[in-house]
Amino acid sequence: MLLALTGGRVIPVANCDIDEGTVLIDNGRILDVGSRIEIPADCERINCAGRVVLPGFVDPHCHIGLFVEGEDTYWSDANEMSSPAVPQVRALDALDPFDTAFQDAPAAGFTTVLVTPGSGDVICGQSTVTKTSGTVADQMVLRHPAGMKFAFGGNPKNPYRTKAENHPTTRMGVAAVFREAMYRARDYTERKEADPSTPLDLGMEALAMVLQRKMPARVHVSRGDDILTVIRLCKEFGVDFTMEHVTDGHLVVGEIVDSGAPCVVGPFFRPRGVSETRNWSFVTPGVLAKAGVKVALTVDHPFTPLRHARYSAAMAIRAGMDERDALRAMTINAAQIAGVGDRVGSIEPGKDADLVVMTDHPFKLQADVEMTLIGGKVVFRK
Amino acid sequence: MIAIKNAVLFDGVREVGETSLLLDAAIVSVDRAIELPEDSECIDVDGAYVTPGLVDAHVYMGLWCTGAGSEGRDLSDSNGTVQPQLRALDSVDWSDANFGRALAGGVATVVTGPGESNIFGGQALAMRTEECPVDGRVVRSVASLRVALGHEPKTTYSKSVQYPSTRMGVAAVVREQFMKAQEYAIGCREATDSGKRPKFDFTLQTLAEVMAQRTPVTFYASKANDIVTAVRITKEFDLSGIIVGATEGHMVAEFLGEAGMPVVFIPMMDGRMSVETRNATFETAAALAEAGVDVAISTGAPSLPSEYLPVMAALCMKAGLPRQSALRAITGGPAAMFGLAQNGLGNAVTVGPGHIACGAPADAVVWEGDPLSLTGRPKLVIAAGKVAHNAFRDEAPW
Repeated sequence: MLLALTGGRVIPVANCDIDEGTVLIDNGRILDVGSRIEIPADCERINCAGRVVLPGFVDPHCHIGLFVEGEDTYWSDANEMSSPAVPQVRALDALDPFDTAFQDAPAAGFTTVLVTPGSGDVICGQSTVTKTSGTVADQMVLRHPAGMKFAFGGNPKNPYRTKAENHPTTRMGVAAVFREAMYRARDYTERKEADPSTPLDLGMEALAMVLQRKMPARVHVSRGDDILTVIRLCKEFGVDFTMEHVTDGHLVVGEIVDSGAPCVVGPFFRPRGVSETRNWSFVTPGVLAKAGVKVALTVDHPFTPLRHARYSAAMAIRAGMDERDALRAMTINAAQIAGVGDRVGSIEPGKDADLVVMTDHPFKLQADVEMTLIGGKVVFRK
Repeated sequence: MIAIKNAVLFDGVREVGETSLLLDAAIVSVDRAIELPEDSECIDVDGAYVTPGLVDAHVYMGLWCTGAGSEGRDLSDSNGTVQPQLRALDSVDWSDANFGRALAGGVATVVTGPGESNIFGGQALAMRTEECPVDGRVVRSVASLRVALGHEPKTTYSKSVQYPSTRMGVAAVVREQFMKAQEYAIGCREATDSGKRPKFDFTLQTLAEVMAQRTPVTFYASKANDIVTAVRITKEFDLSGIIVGATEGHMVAEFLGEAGMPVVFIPMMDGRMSVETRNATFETAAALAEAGVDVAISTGAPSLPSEYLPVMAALCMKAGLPRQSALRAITGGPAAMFGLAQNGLGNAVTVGPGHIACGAPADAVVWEGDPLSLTGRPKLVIAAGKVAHNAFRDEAPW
């Protein structure tokens, strides 16, 4: 099953742009990419002349299929609020492929997303990485579990203004919930090793994976002081971690660089009503990228829906982000941060043939997605 | 005085091409060949696009303040669903950082007011975003009366089942109040003969004034059925009605066109998180304009910060709204819709904000690139004849 996308301006992200390039696909994987590629006679062709061909976009932090669009069940499946620490719950088990946003995502060029629970709890549950097309969650999944979602600051402290009485009410309390859970997980692993008959604890098993660095902590954090707290606590337990939202990131650049943590920045286009959001600025991703932080962009779907993500990235460029950095932040960096950089995020031989064909460069106002392929199959055509 | 030479001008209504401007507190002249007074500062903008200061027609700035949490929220008084007597003027926090950001983004004038939790939220205020003495910031102390229909007022007090808890109930409350106000006004008029004045009622007094003075009444309505109800009530009471929100406006565009009902469309950058918003699309503005509806575009700031108003207009243009209509929808359109020309800035102003014309307030934006693009942004924002934001000198709020 050979397929060639021919004649388009190919932006592989991993390498230089190719003016009239070909992407050759074999059985759902990219076989070759370049300007002088021999196309076998029996190969199906899609003419992309005058078009721009890019890797499918990746958002490493969203709630698609958990907060389902168009319904008033808005809060229902992203936050298990019965306790401030629910490491045992998994996004995969709630994911609704029939969320209409899953039709919008490929139409906007998104082919891979990391779906995460949260952020109403301190420990919100396990994330999953999925492709954006399909009807059965298990067939869409690319990586599971893809990380443990934690949240610091206002959300777990004052969870969506609901009355979850067992939740902490101060930042000290939030940190204490985190530390206690990690100590308990450490204790659990030691006891389990010494005595295999120790009763199974699903949550502790999941947290043990974080402690053993089998999956990263993905930490919701906005305010500058909370960013420093997250860095302190993650160092205390020696876990791999990413920081998500990072609203005040431009105010604590040095500390973030030193921590080595990748940052998933966004969403924007939001009210600035509380201390968590008062400093949000499209400046942040560009400042962090320039300082050497590995930056991905997020729209935190559905807070800003994936269909508007390109406009969000364009605003970051307007605010000073390098255009290449912005593109990486929506593709290869996002894929690497989601833990699937070997499979998606750039047009390279061996990777999944997840591709977007656009009428113009993605950050131009008039650019439209014309066609989207996942695993070499056309999943959207305008 | 400031002179702006070699501008490509959109004057609030149409693109007029290359010209020059002379600005004092108000606009002194608009002409290709202006004579420069000796003390004037001349800025050659070298063919840059120039628009009036933008007008954002339905915001909550100063009542939902930056970074202040619940203390900064004075949106909807929780003392009942019928509160037309409340005035944004008495509550607005003039120092809210939203205003400065909006101005740096080119927005010089806003209509800010109460939220939609109550059916009758109160009276909105038209004001300048520029930092200046408070009196100078008020463009019109009662720019409109805000009425809300649909889901939000229906559910505000729904924890205990309380009237109204249906759309029928919400409409009945609106109708009842306007009918009572009519009766009250008649009572007051007849009192001059009989001497028996009705007992003072703040709510009805306010509504009677709104009806008598034909103050704009904005109906916040997202769903098509609520939009149609707003038109019905507007006609019943001969109000000066305006639809705000209009998420499903494209579904009843022709009806709105025939009814002659103006619309402040608030595009959604948020997800379609409810039944109210499930049909949200940027195409609404184009559909309304196509049907002959007078359309303004607003951010609903700070839900979406006001500095992104031109980006919203650009996205409406991408979705089919003609370029001139998109620009007019954030300048002269809303200013005319709310009648802001009639009592402008002090006595000096005879033409309202949102326009570049002799006598209008000297608010102008010099753009770097196209204002209707993703990368265009204000290079120079001039408010009341003074440079309020200079992109080369000041940090931008992006």
